[in-house]
Amino acid sequence: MKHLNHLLLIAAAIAGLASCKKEDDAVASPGNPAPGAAEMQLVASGTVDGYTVEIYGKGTNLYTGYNTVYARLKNAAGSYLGDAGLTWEPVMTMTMGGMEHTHGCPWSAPVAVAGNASLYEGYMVFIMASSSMGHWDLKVNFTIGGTTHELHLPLPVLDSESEFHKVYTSSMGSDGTTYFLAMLEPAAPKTGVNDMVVGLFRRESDSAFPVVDGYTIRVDPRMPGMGNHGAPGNEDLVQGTDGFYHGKAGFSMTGYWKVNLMVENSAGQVLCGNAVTTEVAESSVSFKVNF
Amino acid sequence: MALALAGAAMGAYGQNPPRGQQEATDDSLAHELGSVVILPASAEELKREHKPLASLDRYLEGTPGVNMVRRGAFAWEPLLNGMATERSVITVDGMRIYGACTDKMDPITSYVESTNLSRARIKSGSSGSTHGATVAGSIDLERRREGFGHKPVLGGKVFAGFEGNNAERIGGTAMHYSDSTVYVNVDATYRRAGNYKAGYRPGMDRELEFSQYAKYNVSAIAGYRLRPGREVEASLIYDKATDVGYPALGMDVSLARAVIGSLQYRYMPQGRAITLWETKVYYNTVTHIMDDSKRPVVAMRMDMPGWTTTGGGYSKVHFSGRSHQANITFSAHASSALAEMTMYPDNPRERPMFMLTWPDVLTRYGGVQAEDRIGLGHGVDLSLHGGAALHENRLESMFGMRSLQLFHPDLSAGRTRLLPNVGGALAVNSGRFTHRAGIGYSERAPSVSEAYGYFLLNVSDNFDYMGNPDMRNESAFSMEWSSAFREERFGVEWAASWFEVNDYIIGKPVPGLMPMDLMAAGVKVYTQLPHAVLLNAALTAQYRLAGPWQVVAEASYRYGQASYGTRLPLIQPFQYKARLHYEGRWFNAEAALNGSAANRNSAEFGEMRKPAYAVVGLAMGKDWGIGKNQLTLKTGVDNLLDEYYSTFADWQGIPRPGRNIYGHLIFSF
Repeated sequence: MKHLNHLLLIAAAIAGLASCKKEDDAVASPGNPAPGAAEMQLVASGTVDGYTVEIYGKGTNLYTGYNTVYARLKNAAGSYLGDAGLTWEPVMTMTMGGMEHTHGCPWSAPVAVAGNASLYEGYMVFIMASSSMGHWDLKVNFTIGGTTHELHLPLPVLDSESEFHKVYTSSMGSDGTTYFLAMLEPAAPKTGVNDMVVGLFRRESDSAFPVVDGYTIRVDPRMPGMGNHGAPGNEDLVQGTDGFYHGKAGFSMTGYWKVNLMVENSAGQVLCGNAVTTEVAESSVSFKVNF
Repeated sequence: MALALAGAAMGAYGQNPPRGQQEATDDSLAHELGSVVILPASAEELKREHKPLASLDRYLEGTPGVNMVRRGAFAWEPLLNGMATERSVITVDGMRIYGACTDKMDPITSYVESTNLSRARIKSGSSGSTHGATVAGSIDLERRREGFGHKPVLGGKVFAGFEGNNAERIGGTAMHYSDSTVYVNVDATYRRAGNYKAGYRPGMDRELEFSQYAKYNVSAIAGYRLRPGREVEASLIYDKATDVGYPALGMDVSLARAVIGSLQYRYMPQGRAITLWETKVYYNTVTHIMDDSKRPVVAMRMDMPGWTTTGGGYSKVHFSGRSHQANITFSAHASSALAEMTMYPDNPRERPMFMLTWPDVLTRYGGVQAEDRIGLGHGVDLSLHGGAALHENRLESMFGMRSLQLFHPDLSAGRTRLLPNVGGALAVNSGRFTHRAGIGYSERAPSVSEAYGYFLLNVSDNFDYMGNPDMRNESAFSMEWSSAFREERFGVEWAASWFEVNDYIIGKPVPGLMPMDLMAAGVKVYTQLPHAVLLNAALTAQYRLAGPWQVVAEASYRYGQASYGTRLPLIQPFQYKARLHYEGRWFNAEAALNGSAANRNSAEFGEMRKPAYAVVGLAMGKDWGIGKNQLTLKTGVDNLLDEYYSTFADWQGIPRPGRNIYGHLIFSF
């Protein structure tokens, strides 16, 4: 019986590998996965000078908004390499009216995961989806033996927003700056008090989207289908040591909630969004959850 | 001590409701501050009752100390001494049963039938603490049981009734058998009513939509004598109401069902200090399904089912000494209450809105209660009672706990309380006068709704109510006093009771909170006011005229006021009843006038001012003996002048029925 189980497992693994091969030139070899990264899925890979770079997301796709991204580097012999000074930079190339224009998005530098030097982790906040108008590439650099290698990997990014789901938004602030908000938590909202984590970034240039420091994000979740009902348990978001903004959101029942937001600078001036009142049903800056 | 009532006002209003017959011949009760409603069965009892097949609600409505809150034609909510059901304990043969509706659409009284009850014992204030902690008092509904007889008797009755106003059809049968070792009672009752019509108002549609109902009740009770002085009894009630309309509410009920079962053991030794030792175990489940599918226009379709399950038992020992009549009761029960609300948005891609309106609350209760009646001689009796109970609430649902923590971040999953009570009464019987005075103190725990309710809409004041788990016990100090004078042809009695309630639990608006219901004006959270005062007063006089004629007059009044100018809701204004009764050889008849002053409405709780009214009713009854059998016909007309009116106890100001011609027929064999 035990042997039969093993045989079945091996057969399934072979079948899985074979099917992957057919669809994609990338091979999702399990290798040495990081602890806690069981949900890692290969989203892109490419080879340069005999080295293969593998890019993983938390699901099979990358979406607009916040994404945790992993990278691994493999040599020709199939060994995963650490300590290779790996860097990345996502770049969107757009063609509009025959003109080509490139810009980036907020992202963090890849750092080796604790306990696994050959697995790099970081995040990317894609500010638009891939489309016929433009495409995302990930510029990856790494240095081995004093030689720097560079590789461009196409990254397909899907739109995360739908009628009742929105985890990313951007807004032109009253100070003329464009702000980007991406919700990390609650990833799985529940009735009751939810921890809320949001990344807040601004556009400095086409290639610089730094974290905004010292602001406050006011939060006011409402049910548009329920007379704009809202619950207590909300806590405005303030920046934590990790750079992200932390607070709480209260949902008194399941269903569709619009999480209205206001961005305030350290002087208490509202730069983005507006307060919800009996006359004004929603803020111009919001997320949406439907659970 | 053959006095009719004590300690409570006459809840007398409405359109000639059946009176029941108040009496206190039962020795143990004569010294309680309370009363007994007899539900008629025997030929003699039937003679005095004009609407014998009326629902239990109508019997209780005509009872001292009780008012019935109407949300429609069915399942009225009993108020005892001007206080709602969370302040009283309502039991069936000592069994605790909890309604499963968060909106009080199914009080326990709606799950039994007047046709299989023998009496309702009403105790006022802390003296009603035998089966649970109470502030207002208790109502125990006693089943009809034949009891053991010397020789085998098989009997029964078939009955049918019709109420013209709402085309209510009542039908059923009750059978009983008894001999020296066995007794069995089995009965079935069916009621079905259409919409009723209010009194005449020019240019107004009289039919009250969604006031229909149907109800089936089947019950059986059987006793077996193991040997002299040792008996067992098993009992089962199955009650199911369907298609019940609630014109005062936004939703109706598609199913209200209770299954109530018990096993009892009675030990009655001869020549011992212990005269009776009764032990019972019981179990019951209640299911209540609200339904908005018949309503043409609703803001949002929703499901609102609720369930309660209760199991418990008690052991009550009666002692009899030279000048003492004492008893002690140990009781315990556990009950779980769960209610859900699911709202369905028009857009199917939007997820349904789900919440737990009762978050699966487990209530555990265990208590001991003792009573002693001491004859002091010279017509003076002293009654004492006292006891204590442990009461625990525990939240069983993590979902519900998380939801409530939005409003009460420090909420703990459980809370245990100690609920004491103590009281006493002195009765003095001197010649034609009887005086009685009593005092009492008791505490109660907040109800499940008061402690853990989640967005419970009260359509009367149009607020969503939120429970508050952090409340202290509510306590009440009460004083009661009654006097009676009686001679051969004339009798008069008055009774008054005064309740000083501390930490009175009531909902107050919290401005920052947003309502859930689309129509609600805001959110009230249960809180505690330092004081509330309730006063009940009643006066009854009767005079026997020449021959078969008798006149009875009753008047009653309640008053309720709490701290910070809070006027308590559902307080009965001055009401009066006058009856002219004729009991002749060929038939009996009655003319009745029921009236009320305008109410002192509590605008804070959405009450409207209801103008004064007076309605007239006529009734007639006749018996025929057919061999050893008897045929009884009762007929009459309620609201003879088709008056359009509504009382303080009619939610949302729904009108009472207009003119109603009825006939009840009972064949006993």
